[in-house]
Amino acid sequence: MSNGGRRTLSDPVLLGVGLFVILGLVLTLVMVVILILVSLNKGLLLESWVPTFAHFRKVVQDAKFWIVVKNTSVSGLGTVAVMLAWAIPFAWLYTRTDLPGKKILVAFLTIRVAVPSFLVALGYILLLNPSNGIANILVSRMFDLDGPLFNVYSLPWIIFLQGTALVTPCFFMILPTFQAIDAALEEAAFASGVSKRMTLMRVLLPLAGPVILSAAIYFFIIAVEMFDYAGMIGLPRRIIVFSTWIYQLVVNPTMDVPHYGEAAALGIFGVAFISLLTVFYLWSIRRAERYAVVTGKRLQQSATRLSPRAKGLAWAFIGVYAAIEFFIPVAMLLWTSLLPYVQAPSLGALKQISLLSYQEIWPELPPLLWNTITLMVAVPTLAVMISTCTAWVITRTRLPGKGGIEFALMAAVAVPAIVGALSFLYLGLSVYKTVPIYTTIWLMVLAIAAREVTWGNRTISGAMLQLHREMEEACAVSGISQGRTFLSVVLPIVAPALFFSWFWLALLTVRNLTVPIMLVRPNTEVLATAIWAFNAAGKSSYASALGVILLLLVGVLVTLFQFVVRKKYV
Amino acid sequence: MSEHPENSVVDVKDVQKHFAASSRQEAEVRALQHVSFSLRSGEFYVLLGASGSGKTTLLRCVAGLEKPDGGEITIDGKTVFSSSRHVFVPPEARPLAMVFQSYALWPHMSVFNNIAFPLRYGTHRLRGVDLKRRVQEVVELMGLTEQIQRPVTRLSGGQQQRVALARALALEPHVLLMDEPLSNLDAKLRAMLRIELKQLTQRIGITTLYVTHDQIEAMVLGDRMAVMDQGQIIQQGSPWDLYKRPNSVFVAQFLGDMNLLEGILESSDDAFGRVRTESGVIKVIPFGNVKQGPVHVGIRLEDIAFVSGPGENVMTGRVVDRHFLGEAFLYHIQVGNTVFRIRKTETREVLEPGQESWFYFPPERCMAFDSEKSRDTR
Repeated sequence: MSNGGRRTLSDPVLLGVGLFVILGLVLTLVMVVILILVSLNKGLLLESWVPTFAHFRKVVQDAKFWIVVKNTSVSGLGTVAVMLAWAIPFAWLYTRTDLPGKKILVAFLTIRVAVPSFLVALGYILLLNPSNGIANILVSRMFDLDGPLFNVYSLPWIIFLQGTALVTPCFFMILPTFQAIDAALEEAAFASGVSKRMTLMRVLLPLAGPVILSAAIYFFIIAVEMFDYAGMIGLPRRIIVFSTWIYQLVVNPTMDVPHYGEAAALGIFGVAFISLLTVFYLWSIRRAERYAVVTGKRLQQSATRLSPRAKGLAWAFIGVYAAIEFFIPVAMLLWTSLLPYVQAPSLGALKQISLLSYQEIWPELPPLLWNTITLMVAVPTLAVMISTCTAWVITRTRLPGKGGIEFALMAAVAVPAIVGALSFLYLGLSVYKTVPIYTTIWLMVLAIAAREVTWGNRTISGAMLQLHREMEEACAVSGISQGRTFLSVVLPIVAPALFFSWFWLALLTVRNLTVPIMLVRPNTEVLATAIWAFNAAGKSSYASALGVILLLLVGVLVTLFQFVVRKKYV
Repeated sequence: MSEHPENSVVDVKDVQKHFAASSRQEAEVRALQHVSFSLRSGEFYVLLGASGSGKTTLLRCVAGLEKPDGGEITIDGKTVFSSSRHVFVPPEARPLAMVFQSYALWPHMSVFNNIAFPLRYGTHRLRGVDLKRRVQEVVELMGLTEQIQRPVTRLSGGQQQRVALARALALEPHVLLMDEPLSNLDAKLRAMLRIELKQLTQRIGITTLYVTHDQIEAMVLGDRMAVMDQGQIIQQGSPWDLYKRPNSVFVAQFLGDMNLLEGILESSDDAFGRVRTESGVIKVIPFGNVKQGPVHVGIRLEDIAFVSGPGENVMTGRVVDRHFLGEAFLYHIQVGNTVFRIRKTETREVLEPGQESWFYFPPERCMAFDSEKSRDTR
């Protein structure tokens, strides 16, 4: 390294670090490079190279193009609006008021993370589908209606459920700003005779405005690439958005050939659009930092006193959220998994309750569980190993060109999950004859890990930056090699961050439907793809039973995490 | 240029170091400009300077944590850095040990392991009984026997400082480098450890290079010291020499407070010069080849004496006010248009505010400096 030629290659540890960094870069670059190649190639796979813009032309001229643009924009904007309508009141209640039992709000928000979004979508399909949705059956039983009252298969429902799903990350993103605003600013308004409502609208929200704006842009990007709801709810009625169109072009082509070139061209449009939004986002957070109103005083601030009625309303609001996001969908899954077919609650239904669905899918479980657990263990392990090495190189060495590594890893954010999966699918097919990874679970492992390295790198870099430089310099002047320093000093000190990252990425992996659904093969089915397939085939009881099993698996993972954390760091 | 004693352990010759500008508006930082000095065997050498003076960069260049842009560094006769011959020996291969400002103790290890880790995995490895014995020795030397199995995070600041020193000494380095090792401690503990450190290094006879911004610390600890400013060594020598015979107003003021007055140096011979000031002519020592012309005359606060009548270098003045400082009185004395500060520890002869008296400026304590050189004073 440039630090005066501290020898690199003679040290096996540094060699290993180098290999992981290269692997991380390769995985990241695969997503972009393959995508570009495929979008511009008329030939088949990587066997022939005939440059063309035909794929782009075809996508733009497709009758669906403007419909998809409209659907995706409407769904993105709507999702953000719904999300803010929950998250801002929650952040305000939690930080600026004397609402009793506020901690429970955070508990509800956190528990939501344990439920994969496609399971929430499944829950609402069971509850609100027009043919046998439980709510529709109940309502028509009571009011004797002709048609179904609710139809979950519609853009508004997609928007509502996506928006509600993003409340948790949004809440935690805007929380620090709401906490940092000095209560004296509100008290000054109250003391001048300004009402609570006016203070909220004219003092607090404008102060938090820049942060709310950057959260809105950030989650708009997320909403644009979200697949779970649009896939589960939109696809059956051909309500197509960006992510589901790519899926359709590749996995479920209307004609029998997958249109890789067009999907890649569409993917490039997505990457370009998100890159543009990312620039906008970066501008907005810089602006938010300039507007920061941190006064340094960190009192437990709760300027606004709520009336008993307001407290009741606030709790009703929180209760509705918890019901929508957790209790209703989980109850739907449990209820349906215990019945042979979807039924509204009734005496007859109660009599039919049994574990029959679980028994019937039992033989299918071993490969599903095996594959799911393989993903759950292998993906975070690989991602954390790569991120640890990249984070160390970026934050703790003077390697020339490390800025390029950081940029490449960060830029991967602009590649939507489904687009990244497309690149890996294509890579797997191309190299199949020499490296038959396409038919194994390991292609999925690489594709998911490639997406998670960005997050891992950022989190672990944060931890490593906390480490005082003198810790390592003390090793150097004590005659200890850089590799040994990395293993025996840096790693043990940042171990808590590595543990945390591992568990979080494991959780993200079992929640992931987007990548597996693109790459799944008959022998690489995981719980997520099996639930998708059973639901598509109308076997709701099986889908629900597998959903419950997946929730149990997540439960085990979270319990394990709590156990390890408590055992080790308390 | 620099002295080249045969028994020098560290030899730094003409070392330069630049840091690239962090933004386009900023100029490149010239951290070290042609610095040369050497450490004799067993010597305690202090680099003294304000923050940004380059003292820590110089220490880190000796350690190998920074690579200079030019010059040569020799440790124990072996070249560890030479820009002309493209030599750079990495820190882990240099026969030295270092104590850091933050102590840099590894927080996940006990006292024992902090000391043993470099011995186990460093350049000169020890095993089994040898390793234990070595750790035991330094632990006893530093009075840490009771804490040996404790995690370092559970120790007080003073104890952590001792562990850091023990870890460095266990390596039996040829040179011990210390970067402001006492600056994280409170004033009382600092004063105590200062003396301890001096006794310890004298007892084991280790060659030490020590960086500090505290002039008292530098003078207490150093056999020799260098005052640095803007990447250069302004003056080096024994603390006594630097305090009593500074070569510039900068060094003089860095090491202690002093009164300054302007004047014209009219004549000088080997021993004394005569300076015309607005309050009369005074006899001075001209330091650092002062030329005839405008000069600054400096005299330390404690060096002005009260006398009972006129004479050579005696001026009349009026006591403006008097402040009690505990161990001394501080007077403000008006002489002509100049106000002098005088510190008197003997409290037998006390002057009252408003009183007129005679004040003696001992010629051997009056230092004349070139006005040119004096400009960049603090």
